[in-house]
Amino acid sequence: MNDMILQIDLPALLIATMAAIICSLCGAFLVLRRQALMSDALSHVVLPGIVTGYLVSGTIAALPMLLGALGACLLAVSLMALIRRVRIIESGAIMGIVFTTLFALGVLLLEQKVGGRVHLDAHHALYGALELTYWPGIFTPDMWQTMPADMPLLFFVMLAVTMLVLVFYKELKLATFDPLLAQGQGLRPAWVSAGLLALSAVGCVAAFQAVGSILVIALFICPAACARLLTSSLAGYLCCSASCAILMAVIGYGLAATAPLWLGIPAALSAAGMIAVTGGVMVALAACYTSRT
Amino acid sequence: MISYNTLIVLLGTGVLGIAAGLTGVFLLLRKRSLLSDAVSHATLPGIALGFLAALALGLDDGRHLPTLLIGAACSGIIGAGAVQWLKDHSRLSEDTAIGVILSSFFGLGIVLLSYIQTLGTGSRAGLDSFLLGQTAALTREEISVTAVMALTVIAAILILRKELTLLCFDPIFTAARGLSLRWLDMLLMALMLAVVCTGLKTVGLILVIALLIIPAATARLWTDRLSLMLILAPLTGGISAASGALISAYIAHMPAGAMIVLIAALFLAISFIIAPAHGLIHWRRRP
Amino acid sequence: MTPALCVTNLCVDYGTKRVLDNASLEAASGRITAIIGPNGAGKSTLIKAVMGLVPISSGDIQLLGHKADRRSRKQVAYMPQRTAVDWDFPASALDVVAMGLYADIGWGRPVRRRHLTEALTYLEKVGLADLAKRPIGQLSGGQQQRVFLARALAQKADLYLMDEPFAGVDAATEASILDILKGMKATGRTVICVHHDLQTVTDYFDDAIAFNIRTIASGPVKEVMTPEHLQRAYGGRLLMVAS
Repeated sequence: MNDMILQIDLPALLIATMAAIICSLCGAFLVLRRQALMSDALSHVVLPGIVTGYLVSGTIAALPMLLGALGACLLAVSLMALIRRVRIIESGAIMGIVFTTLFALGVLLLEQKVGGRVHLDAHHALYGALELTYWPGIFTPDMWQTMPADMPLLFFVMLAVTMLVLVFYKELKLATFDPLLAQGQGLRPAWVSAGLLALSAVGCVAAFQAVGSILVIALFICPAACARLLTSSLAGYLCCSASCAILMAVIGYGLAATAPLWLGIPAALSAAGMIAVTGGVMVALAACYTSRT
Repeated sequence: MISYNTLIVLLGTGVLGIAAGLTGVFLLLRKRSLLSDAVSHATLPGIALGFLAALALGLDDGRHLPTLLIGAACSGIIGAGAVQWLKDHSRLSEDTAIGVILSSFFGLGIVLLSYIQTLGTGSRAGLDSFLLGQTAALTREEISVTAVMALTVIAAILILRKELTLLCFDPIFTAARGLSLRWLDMLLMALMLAVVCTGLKTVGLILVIALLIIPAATARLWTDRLSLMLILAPLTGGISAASGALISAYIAHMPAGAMIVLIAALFLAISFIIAPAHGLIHWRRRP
Repeated sequence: MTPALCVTNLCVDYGTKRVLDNASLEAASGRITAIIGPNGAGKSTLIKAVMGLVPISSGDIQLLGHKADRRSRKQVAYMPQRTAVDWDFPASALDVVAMGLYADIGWGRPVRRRHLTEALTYLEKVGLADLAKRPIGQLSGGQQQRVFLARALAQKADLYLMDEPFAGVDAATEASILDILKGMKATGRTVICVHHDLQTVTDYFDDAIAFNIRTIASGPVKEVMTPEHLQRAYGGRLLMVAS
């Protein structure tokens, strides 16, 4: 029993926590800039990217798929920018156009099953496979060899995102709050905006592998929404967003693991789904709390 | 020669495309296109609960379409209501509210689906088609449900065209003229919900919003006249839906939902370049 | 003669903020009245409260001698600020004017050719008949304002409430809008405008109401436009007083 917690639950929680920190930091800025649904769009377009990466390379190695996913995100962002030049269509609709089209392309490619041997599962991509995390050698001499493949990637992306947000805190703050002033001071808001989107794309792709697209959206938006309701300074907002994300991941995972025991049903429930539900409940509680006071 | 069954499928999906095109025009003009994303994702827990309810009542092994659709509609309504509530009662902007509801409702749906999987009847296979759309041909029952719902939507829009136009153009004036904004908005949401539920089985809940958004945007590129948009959008929507279904019926490994969306996107891409009102080739002419 | 608009002790709250506090005012029938006051004085809110567009906390509103409700508001035409709508909307000038006829046509019934012909006559009155088919996005600011005016005319009301009809239009349009307002007065209509340009109040209007959360002064323009009243309405913010 102890081994099971160590080898399955602890690594899964670690992965969920790292994904939570990555997504919530990027998401915090997206929500402030009224681009929250960009995370929705990005997490959907990751699918065609991954499938293309797989089809081109012929393996399920992580690198080609990651590159494919990043490429798809970049393509999506540039397409949106292109269509936005037609001023008459609102930006929400543009997002909808681009991500549904690319997602449809992904579904179509997925059906082709070139090679046919390796199974790329759409549901896996949607729901994630947090439950399948397994680290047999944790806390033993050969722990580095048996580490789940997602872990180092998530760790480095988490470090990078945190560092970048800390280093460029001032620039992000200015460009988000007052782009015109930022421009006047020689900072290019368009570059900050592009950098933020690129960072979000990297975060989205890294987290996607581990936790699935729907949880990526939840981790991007729900913690930031909670923080938006509960805090009023930017630094507090970022800290609150990250803490809410971690809380959400831990509570959600805990519920998914223990709820079946209480309800007396045999197998585990989807952890990704449960974390997303927890996020929604947290936002609802925060909204109730703030609307009364 | 097209067989009778294929013809039925073409008609059913074509009518769906027309209904979605018409509804999409008003959603686009009301700037509510992405609300349909929240609503379509929010139908998943309802589908799962509908399945469990049908299973408990012993209807068709749980795959009883009307029960599933009623469940989908109920949770879609709750989702739309939740977005509105978050928007009205907190300082969250609409897009954030949409994201919160979309992800948490979809998450709940996934939790319920993972529970259904443990029931071990292999029954989840029937529900998966709601996510990414049907890959095989539709049944007669599904087509008739689709056609009836789509025709209702079309009729409602044709009757209330004037009121919906007013709502989208000038909400304040609409209210000053004694029309209830809340009721008109709820009507528009109801039409959108009907299209989403109708399209669930064919196109899948992730892609159904494309049918609402893309044909309407295509029509907007071609004209500055609403009356013309209301012809062009259903036209492209209907053609995309019918031809996508046709391709999927004749060629293997061509999922209907994805094909429909890709064809609609192709129309948009072409219009983006050549459309007379707002296409690429006319950008230079304008200041 | 009963006043066209009579507001008694009107209070409106947005959340915890009181935007109108015991406002009372009267606008005489058959005249053109300006409501003036600084930004944030609640002028637009006052008009919206009269039209039932914002909930009122307390107070009483009489329109043309009747209590303000759905029925009496049918005799009132409301012209929102031009910035209140999306001018990229796919509609022609004629379509927008026809919107003023929608209540006459009946809810749920289609717009017929004779309605469009009628709408065209109102567009003629504001001098835009030749632009009837033009998409509204391609009209100039002044033309858009005149389209709005034509839509208000199409409502064939007895009382017209206009929110900043002269905002953001050129001098020529300003003169032609004023002509139209005078024409409306000549046929016995009452016009009440929210107005921001103190320089033109005395020239354009018969009566004025100086307003800031509550009524400061009201009556014929000459009596209202005194430095003392304006000082009270605008507080220290008034830099230039119309003489």
